[in-house]
Amino acid sequence: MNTEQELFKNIQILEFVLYDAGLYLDTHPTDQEALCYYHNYRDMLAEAIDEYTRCYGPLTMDAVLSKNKWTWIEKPWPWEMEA
Amino acid sequence: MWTYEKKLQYPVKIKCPNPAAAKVIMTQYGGPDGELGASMRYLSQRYTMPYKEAIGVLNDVGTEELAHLEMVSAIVHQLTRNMTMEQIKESGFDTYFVDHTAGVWPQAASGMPFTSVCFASKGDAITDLVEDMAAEQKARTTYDNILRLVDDPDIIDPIRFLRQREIVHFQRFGEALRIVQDKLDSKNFYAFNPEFDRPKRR
Repeated sequence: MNTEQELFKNIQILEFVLYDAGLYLDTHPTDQEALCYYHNYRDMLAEAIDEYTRCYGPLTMDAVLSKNKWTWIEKPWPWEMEA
Repeated sequence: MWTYEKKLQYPVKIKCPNPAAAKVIMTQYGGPDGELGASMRYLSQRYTMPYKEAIGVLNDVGTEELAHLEMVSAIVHQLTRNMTMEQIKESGFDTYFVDHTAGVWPQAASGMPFTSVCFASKGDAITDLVEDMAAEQKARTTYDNILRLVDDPDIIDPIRFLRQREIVHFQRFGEALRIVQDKLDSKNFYAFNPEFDRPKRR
């Protein structure tokens, strides 16, 4: 697995962890331990997305950094990934 | 995948309940040319679309339609909150009320439930993009008809925004169709189907 794939997979993991913690917090909004867990992963996710975006391109439309080319439409799209 | 942003694409702030308006505007949620069908149409079509520019338009418009679905739902909700029983009976909203109270549910103004029959995913780039252009015009006509039926400025303002987006999307789909045709055999656009016959990818 190359660095791009590793970083990509790490973002998927961190994003899911953060989302699942958020879903728990929806029904436990004052759980301090869960909030601490959420913030820890929130920082890690932001860092990972920032690194991926700088090295490999945008994951969201508002993260295009290139000034001379619209890189948002570059392939592969997620459903085009090879097995 | 998607993540939710806690805001509407364009503000919806309606002061006066108006179940008669809700009954017709609801059609842009779950009706034949509504935003639910629009989103499902484009998001379904993008998987087999062969060219990146057209994929981008389908992906991004399909996503924007989800935001429009939410705006239409917000309009319907605001028009049906704090209704009196008299308003419900006088407006003809009683036939909806009996099944859904003031809950938001996707149906056409006629009461026909949402159906995927109202959109196509044909697996052919020209066919799908021409359908998409027609769909945007059908939705534009529906918004024009809604504007003939309502007179509250609070309703008119977001409906005008949604109508304008149909015109922008029609333009983008037209450009996507031109890009696709530029990559096909200029003597016969139908010589092969680029979504199925696997030409060299560009």
